[in-house]
Amino acid sequence: MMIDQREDNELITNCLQGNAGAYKEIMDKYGGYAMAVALNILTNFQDAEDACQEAFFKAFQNLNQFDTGMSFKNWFYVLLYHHCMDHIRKRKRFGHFLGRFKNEHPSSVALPSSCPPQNPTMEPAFLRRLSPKERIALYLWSQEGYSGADIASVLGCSQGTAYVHLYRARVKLKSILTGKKHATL
Amino acid sequence: MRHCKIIRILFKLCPFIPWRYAFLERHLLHCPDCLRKAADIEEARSATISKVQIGERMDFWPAFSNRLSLKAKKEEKRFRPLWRWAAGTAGLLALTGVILMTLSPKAEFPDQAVKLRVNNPKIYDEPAQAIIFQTQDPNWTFVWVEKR
Repeated sequence: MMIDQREDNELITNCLQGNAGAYKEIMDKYGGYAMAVALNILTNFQDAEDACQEAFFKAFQNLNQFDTGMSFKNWFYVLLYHHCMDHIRKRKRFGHFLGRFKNEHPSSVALPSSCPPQNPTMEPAFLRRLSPKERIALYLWSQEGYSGADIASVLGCSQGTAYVHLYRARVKLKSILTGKKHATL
Repeated sequence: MRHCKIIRILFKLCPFIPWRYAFLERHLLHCPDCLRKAADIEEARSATISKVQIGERMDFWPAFSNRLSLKAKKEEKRFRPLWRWAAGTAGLLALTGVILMTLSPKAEFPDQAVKLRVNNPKIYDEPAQAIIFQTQDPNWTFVWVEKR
């Protein structure tokens, strides 16, 4: 963990000295993680890819504000999480607008679907039934081994709140899974 | 069992997150029965999308570097029009000045100005120098006499 942080700090220092290639290494290192986080929050491959792209760009622009005492991954996750939440808000607003437009102009031209088709290899059907905060808490806990404090630092809330999100996600997931089991029996 | 159920219902209904956390800390995270109602780490792992599922196919660099070069070009362009605007404004101001100068009426001095002449001015019998200031107002003329 410490070696990772030292490596990241070196790459960031190089980057700040004008070596943009160092940032490529950072992107290669964290691209997959970023995509997994974004995909778990947004449950849409295209949106997740755009969000990652945007978050990497934002991180690059604000790299001089990065505190080298912190973990780059956590700092980046915070940026990415906020960007994803903004995207969800925008998507919701667009959804409302689309609904109103469809009601007012039922015979108008066909509008693009707000949710393009999913990548066939991903199955975020379970995830859609959880809230975005629950989804990221569940992901960070299960896939990355984050503790309540780490999840709280990404979500920007108290540790207790992070635990509540996580527990609710686990309960919901269990009920979905048992429901599915009953359905297949 | 019944006690657990009540706590779970209270947890669901409670509107305040700190209170919910109190239920969690005191009971839900420690009671084996209640923990059975929540998915374990393996179940959570299988339900969420992992980095392994995404694989190594994510390469954000090409789009990022494109964007970076576009941004650099944009910034370059942003400064160019500024200079153009500055030069244009300066030119326009100069032109306006010239036009105003040529169009403004010339100062009209009265044709019959007072012809004033001071001969041999003296201060305490010492020869002095007289300077005459003719103002635009024909009624006013200043005479300044000073020692040589």
